[in-house]
Order: sequence, then structure tokens, then C-alpha cells
Amino acid sequence: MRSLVCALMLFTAIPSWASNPAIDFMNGLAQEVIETGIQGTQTNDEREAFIREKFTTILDLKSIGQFVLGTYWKKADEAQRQEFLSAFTELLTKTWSDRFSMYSGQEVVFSGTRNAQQKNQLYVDSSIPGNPPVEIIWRIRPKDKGYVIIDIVIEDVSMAMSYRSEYTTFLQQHQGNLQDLINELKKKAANFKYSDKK
Amino acid sequence: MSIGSGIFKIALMASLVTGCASMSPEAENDPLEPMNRGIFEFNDVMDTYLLHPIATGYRDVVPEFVRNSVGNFFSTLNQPAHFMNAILQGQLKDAASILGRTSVNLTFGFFGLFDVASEAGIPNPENDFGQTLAKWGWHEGGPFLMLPFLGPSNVRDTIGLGVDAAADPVYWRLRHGDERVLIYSGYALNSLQKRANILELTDNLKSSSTDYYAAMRTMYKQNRKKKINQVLPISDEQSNDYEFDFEIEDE
Repeated sequence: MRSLVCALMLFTAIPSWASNPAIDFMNGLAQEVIETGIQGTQTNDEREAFIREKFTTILDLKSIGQFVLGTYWKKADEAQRQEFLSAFTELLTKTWSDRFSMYSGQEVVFSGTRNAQQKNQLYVDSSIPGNPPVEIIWRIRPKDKGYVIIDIVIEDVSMAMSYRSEYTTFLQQHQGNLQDLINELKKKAANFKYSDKK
Repeated sequence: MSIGSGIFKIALMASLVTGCASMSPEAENDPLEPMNRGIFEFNDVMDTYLLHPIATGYRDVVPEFVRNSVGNFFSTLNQPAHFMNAILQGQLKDAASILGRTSVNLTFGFFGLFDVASEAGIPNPENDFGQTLAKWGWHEGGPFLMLPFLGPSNVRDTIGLGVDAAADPVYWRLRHGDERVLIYSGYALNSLQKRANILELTDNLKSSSTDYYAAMRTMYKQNRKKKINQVLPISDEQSNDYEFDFEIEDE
């Protein structure tokens, strides 16, 4: 009982001690991605290499992979899970490398943090000024001495939920065959076409 | 274009919609999926071979400031419908913003060609009749629908689209005789303008999706839920669809 009370005290104390570190983490990350990953790279390959390395440390890929597969994650064996995570991460890297290349210098303003309903998770609120401003919410959780991102919510569109909806629909249409999805992810990554920016 | 506004525009493009209290991919409310997929494929073919190439040419040839003015002009034309809906929804603050921005843009913005109101920080709420119906009690929009040429919607919001179109004063002014060609030209130019704004983003989504239809459907529905929640008197907790359990193991 005492440990439960302590845990509750610790949990409810998150806003007072964790809001600044979380915002500092996101600010530092945004700066690094913009300066090194976007402005500091010239080619798609260079940007991809940066994003690939960064994603393995700042994203909680296992939790995201587990969530986006839903019940299919539980049915998969360890080898399939690893193969899925590898294919998913590769396509994610190319997709976001392309999206990052569309960045044209707008500032992301981090405004505060909130506790998520799930324990040990935080939302970091941010926006890109404009009319209307674009709201971006980062769902993060502590890991080691920093944080990892588990979802990005843009104008209430959750990236994790979107991938889950897309992949489970795909799996439903392929009799739940996870290998079909893995093969499709690999095919998409191999044939990925970068956008023609103007 | 920023990354965030890019994704936002993808979600909006999907607006070229049924929320449930907690979005779950297993409950997409899409009983007409086979038909919807057929229409989606038709739209995609039309886009690939017609709209996308024309929009690419339009973007490459027409300078950005001219394209912005075209967008501003059509946005101004939509303001009477937005104002009507804000009043019907009892959103008086939105109504005041719409009235303010229309007055400013029609005068200082040279008949709506320049968005001076946004520069002055006046919000652009864009209230629609689908929201109005939600406010009047039709919270869930009914089955998901894919409309030919217009894209994702649902039963409620399809009715809303029709009412909003009928609330267009330009339509009523030019609906007779040869002047109708101006209406159709305007619709075409407006669609071209919107399509040109999101070319790279839809290319990106199409390249990266294992199921383009499902990706578009979920993004549209989540974003639409946000617009509906803006006019409903429900708690913050209920309105946050992104507050799902992440089911993280080992915690």
C-alpha cells in the first residue's frame, strides 16, 4: 500500500519536475534534426542515413511496431517481429526523410507538457504558427536518462493509429498473413520514389 | 511548407468521416467498403492521369503569389456559408471572426485577393454544415462514403457538402444561362488550386502506403473528428481521440 502511495505521488508529481526536461529534450531534438538532418544534408541518401540513425534512438520502435500490428503482433513469432520491425523502420525512414525534405524553415514552438492517461507517458504540446496554427502533439515516455517518442499527433491525426489502421486493414484483406505485409513494406521501401519538390 | 502543415494538408486533402468515442481500426464503420474502394480507384485514376498532371503544370507555370491570390479569392467566396454555419452552431466568436476577416479582405485585401486578415491575426474558422448537423445532435456521421471526385465523407457530411454548396451566393447569382460556365470554371480552378498545394504530400503518402485507401480513410476520419469536436460541448478527455492505450509491454 505504501509503495502504491509513493508511486501515485511520483506519478502526480510529473508535471512539476518533468515539464522542462521534456520540452528541453524536444527542443534539442528539433534543433538537431533541422540543423544537422535537414539543412546539413545535401542528398536524399545523406538525409536518409541521418534519419535512420536518429530513428533508432529517438523512437520507441518496438512499442510502435507492437501497437501498429495490434493482435497480429501477439500471433507473430520473434523472428517475424524482428523482420517486421526492420521493414517498417526502413519504410518509415524513407517516408519521413522525404517529408523532412519539404521543410522550409518554420519554427516549431513547444508550449507545455501533460500527463497521458497511461502511466509513465507524457504529451508535449507544440505548434507551428500560422492561420490556423498547426497543432503537433508528441507522445513520449522516459527511457534511460532521456525520452523516446511513441507517437506524433498532427491536428489530431495520430501517426501510430494511422499506421495501425492501414496495416490491420491490409492484413484483414490478406487473411492475416503477416509475411505479406512484411513483403509489401520491403517492396514499398525498395521502390520508394522521392517527391518532386518545387 | 512545414512538415507539420504538410501532414495537416494531407488530412485536409482527404477532405476533397464517422467518429466514435474512441477510434479503433477494427471499427472503421465502412460497410460499403467494396463500393468505396471502387470509387476511390476511379478517383485515383482521374487524379493520376488528369488532375495531378494539370496541377503540376499549374504550379510550375503560375507564380506562387498568383496561386495564393486564387486561393484567397475562393476562400473569401466561401465565407458566407461559414458565417451561416457559425450562426446556426451558436459559435458567435467564430461568426465575428468570419465577419471581420471578410470585411478586411474585401476592402484592404482588394476584393479578397490578399489575405490581410490572416496577417492581422484574425482566425479563419471555416465552419461547415456537417459540423452544424453534429451540433444539432447528429454526432456520429453514419457510414464512411467515398464520393466521386470529392473524396472521403460520410452520410451527414455529404448532406453538409450539398447545403454548403447551395449557400454559395455566387452560385445563385450566376446559375442561369451562359454565366453558369463561370461557376464551373471557378469550381475547376478552386480544385486545381487545392490539388496543387498538396502534390508532394499525396505523392509521399501514395509511395509509402501499403493500402492507400485505408491510409486516406483513417487520416480523414481522425482529422474530421477534430473539426466535429470543435463545436460539440464535450469534455477534453472525451474529445482526445489520440488518448488510446498504447499497450506497451513490460510496464
